[in-house]
This record gives sequence, structure tokens and C-alpha cells, in this order.
Amino acid sequence: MTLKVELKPGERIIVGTALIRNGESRTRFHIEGEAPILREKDILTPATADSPGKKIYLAVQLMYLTGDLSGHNEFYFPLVQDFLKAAPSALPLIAEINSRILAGDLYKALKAVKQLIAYEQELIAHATGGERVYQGSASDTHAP
Amino acid sequence: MSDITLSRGVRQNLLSLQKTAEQQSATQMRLATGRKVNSALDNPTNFFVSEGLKSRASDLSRLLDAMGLAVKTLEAADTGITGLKKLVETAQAVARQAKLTSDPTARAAYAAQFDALRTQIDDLAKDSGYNGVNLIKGSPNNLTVVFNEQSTTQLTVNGAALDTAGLGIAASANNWAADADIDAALTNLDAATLKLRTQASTFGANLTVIKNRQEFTNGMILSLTTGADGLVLADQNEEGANLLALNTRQQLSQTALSLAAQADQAVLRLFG
Repeated sequence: MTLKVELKPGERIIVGTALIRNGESRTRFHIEGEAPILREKDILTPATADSPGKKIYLAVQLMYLTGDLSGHNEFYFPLVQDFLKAAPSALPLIAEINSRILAGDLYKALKAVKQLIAYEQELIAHATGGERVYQGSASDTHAP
Repeated sequence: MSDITLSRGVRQNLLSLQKTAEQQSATQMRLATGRKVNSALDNPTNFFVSEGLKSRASDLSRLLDAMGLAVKTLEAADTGITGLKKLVETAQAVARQAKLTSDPTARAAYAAQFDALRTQIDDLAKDSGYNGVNLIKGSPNNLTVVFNEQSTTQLTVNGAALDTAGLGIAASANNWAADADIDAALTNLDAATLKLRTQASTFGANLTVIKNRQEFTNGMILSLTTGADGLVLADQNEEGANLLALNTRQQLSQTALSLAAQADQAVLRLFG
């Protein structure tokens, strides 16, 4: 299957084990084959993975980029168990991520972790308060 | 005394630690005031979700049993191959010794030994199954391992005939009267050794894949069973605070540090 990619000037993308940085103009190209592909906006590093959910994302991202599940015992499951202990209501989201990984579809697993991160931000927003709780948050739709 | 040097990973973690501490004091303030928000999922919903996830855990346990059987089957085949390699080596030694003598009677005796080893090879290949599945006998079985409940992900391990017919080890010819007869046997044995080695590494790779999935499924079942009970009692007001507390604890945890170290080795280090 061909993947169509368009990069902004200077934008970066990981293809397989290489990092590609775009030059000064917009570029459009096609990628064929099985290599893992991650756009700059989808990449987290140890520095930017600064919440429990983002750390899970980083762990799955590593599995995706290396094509190797073997880090799961060392990082992934400890992080997942910690998360579940702190926020049991995230279990359905985590079950979805696990299923994707088990099926070997790590790209979809990453998409699923994004939902977990969004949910995490929502929970933290509830806890840290501010006006956001009453505005536009999906979880408050059935409030009186 | 020398200065303490902090690695890049630790420095980054310290920075986010400071940030989290600020967030957390805000949370504690908020919890202390007792202002609660409505939870997104009310408890009856959580109860049914929790039951559904528990039954998934038991589905996964069944898959896990099948994976365990597959591992045993591959291990049986691998043990068989190790034994076969030794038998082939012994056969090679017999053939080389036969070449050292020109006495036809002695050669005939070596040839008989060689044929006896062939029988042992066939017997061993026949006995290398587990639970009725044998990956290396003549007309071998294949092994299919299902990895998820929907059976959309699976691995098929193709068997390979590793008896004397499959390995191409012919019976001794002419009681090994001529050198050429022995050389033919040695050529066959070399090819057989190569085939055994290749097949062992193919099975080894399959075994790694299955063991990885097996461990992963174990972790999955654990998170489903431990998580399902907590889900019923989940209070989202506390969860936000819990997550912030967890974030603080994680900054300097061994898991986070080794995750960072791992990331620095991969292509991610280029993102610096």
C-alpha cells in the first residue's frame, strides 16, 4: 500500500530507522513497503513524554519503531498497571490498546494511546479545576 | 570529592518533576474544598463494562493455553533436532573411519553401523511430537497459533520432514566397498547438517514470536482482571489527582529511566 506524505518546510519524519528532514519547500512523496512511519507531530521523546499516558505512548512508539514487542515487560506493562491503579476508569481504553498490540497493529495502537492521553488530560483538568470543567467537556453533558 | 553528574534522562525528569509539583498543589487545594464534578461514566455503566472486560480476560486465558501447547510442541521439535544433529555427526564419524580402512569386511561393518544410525534418525524424528503434533516427522504436521480472540492474527509454523528421507540420507550402497560409495554418504550428511541447522533457526524464530505474544497476553489478562474491579468503584474526581501523583512518582522511577535510555538508543535520539 502506498502512503502519501506531504511535508512542510523543515518538517521531520521517521521512516524505518532513518530520520528525514524536509528542505526549504513543501514536498510531496509516496512511501511503499512495510517500514514504520511516524510524522513529527506524532513523535514523543523522553523529554516530551511528561505524563503517565504519554509515557505509555512512548513505550508503544518504541515497539512500533523497532518492530519488537520485547520491551513490554520492562516498560509497557509496569506503566499500564500504574495507570490503571491511578485511574481504573481508563480500562476500556487500555484494553483497546492491548488488543491492537496483540494483533500486531502497532500504528493503530498508537492512535488508541492518543485517546488515552486525551482522557488523561480531561481527568487532570477535572482535578486541577478552573472553568474548563463546565465548558465543552464531553463528560459533563449529562450534568443537570 | 567529585561532582555528581546527572544524565540527560535524569535532568529531563527533574525538570518535569518541578512542573508536576506545581500542578499537584493546585489539585490538593481543589480536593480539600470538596467541589466535585460529575463523573463521565456512572457506576451501573461501569459495572457492565467491567463484566464484559472480565469475560475477555477468560477468552484470552483460553488462547494462552493454546500458546502454551504451541511452545511445548516447538520445544519438542527443537529437542528432536538437537538429537538428530548428534546422530548425523556420529554417522559422519562412522563414514570417515570407514574410509581409513580398505578391508572390505571392516567397511561392511561400518556400513551396517551407518544403516543402524539411519534407523535411529527415523525413530527420533517420529518421536519428536507433543500432544499429537509432530513438526519434524516424515509428512509433518503444521502448527497454527491464534493470537487474538477474533482469530484475525495468527502464526502458522510449517513442519519440515527431518527423517532420513526428508534429510536425503540414503542407505549405504555396496557395503561401502568403493570410496565413492562412502563419499556419497558424506555429501548427504553435510547437506543434512545444513538442513537441520536452518530448520532449527526457523523454529527458534517462531518460538520467540510465540513466547513474546504469550508474555504479552499474560500482561493483558493481568491488567484486565486487576482493572475490572477498580472500574466499578472508579471515581473520576480522584483519578485526576491520582494521575498527577503518579506522574511525580514516575519521574525518577526505574521504569521511566530505562524507557528513556531505550529511546535514546533508537532512532528517537535523532530528535534530541
